Amino acid sequence: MRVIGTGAVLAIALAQPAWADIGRIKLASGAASIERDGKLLSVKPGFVIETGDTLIIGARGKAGATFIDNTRLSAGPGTRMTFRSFDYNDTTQKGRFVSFLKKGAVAIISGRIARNDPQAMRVETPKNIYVIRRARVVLNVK
Amino acid sequence: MMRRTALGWLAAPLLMAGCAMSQVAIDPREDGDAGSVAVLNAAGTELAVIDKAGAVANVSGGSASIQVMGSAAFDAKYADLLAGLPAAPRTFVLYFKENSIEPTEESQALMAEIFAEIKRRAGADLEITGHTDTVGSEEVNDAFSLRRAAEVTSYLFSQGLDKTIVRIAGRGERELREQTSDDTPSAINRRVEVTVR
Repeated sequence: MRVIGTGAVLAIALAQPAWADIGRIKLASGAASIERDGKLLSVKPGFVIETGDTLIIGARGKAGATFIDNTRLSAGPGTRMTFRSFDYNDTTQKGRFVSFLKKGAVAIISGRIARNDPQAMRVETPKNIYVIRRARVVLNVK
Repeated sequence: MMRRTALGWLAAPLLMAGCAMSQVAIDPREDGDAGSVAVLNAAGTELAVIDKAGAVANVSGGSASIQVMGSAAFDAKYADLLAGLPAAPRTFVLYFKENSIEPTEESQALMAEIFAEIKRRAGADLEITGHTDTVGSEEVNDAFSLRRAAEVTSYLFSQGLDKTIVRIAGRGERELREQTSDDTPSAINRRVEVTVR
């Protein structure tokens, strides 16, 4: 067994700061933004999503994102969705993902969080809660 | 009488609009195990579960009505939304020499492919996850798998990989590609998976 190289130690250290990320925007068009700490930030591919962010899509906009557990999301026009809590352990690949879809429509392909714990992925809406268990679904709040 | 009926028709959509109706649907094209979605009320009580391709629940607070939607109806409503889903993550598997963090020659050649895949995707990010075989203790393998991942990461950084798009992890012996008993060397299980999202 070789002793770990200094390059590898550096790699671990450098890869750490990015670990606040919960996902990234992969596509965006029209008015698509993230509300964070009261500020509205317009998004483009590569934009880093953090816990507590609210995705806000304009009347003609849309956006797609992939989360760090491989959950994929597409948000349609007029959507407002907050990523309330996101815990994910890279080693066990278990965690919990709770979001709030206030209005609009999203398509979701669940990722490892849902696959590894059938109770762990929840989308709350103003009147109901959806528990997504490893599925490809559309959610629509009027 | 007529007036009251007309008023009723006008009022119905307005009342529904104030109700925060929601709909959940499983993609009708899912085959085999379509997964499932549980519908709960705000207090957390389960109202319904849908678990078939094309199953739809129309939900308003305390009640859920279940129906089935065919592909045509589903697409008419949601085709644009589905088209906006990002591409599925793609995983590259790199293999290692026994007891070593040295990738095999074939695996070294695969590194260029990884860069090409990153270029193809807007806003790409990477997950670099190390795995071991079952030789050694779980704790040692957790650490060793992380080292393997770090070694690959370090190599990719030296080749110009953007440092801000990488997460690394060690899965130890939790996810064997080839099921073996404990303390069994396996070239297939000694690997690093690079997932490009």
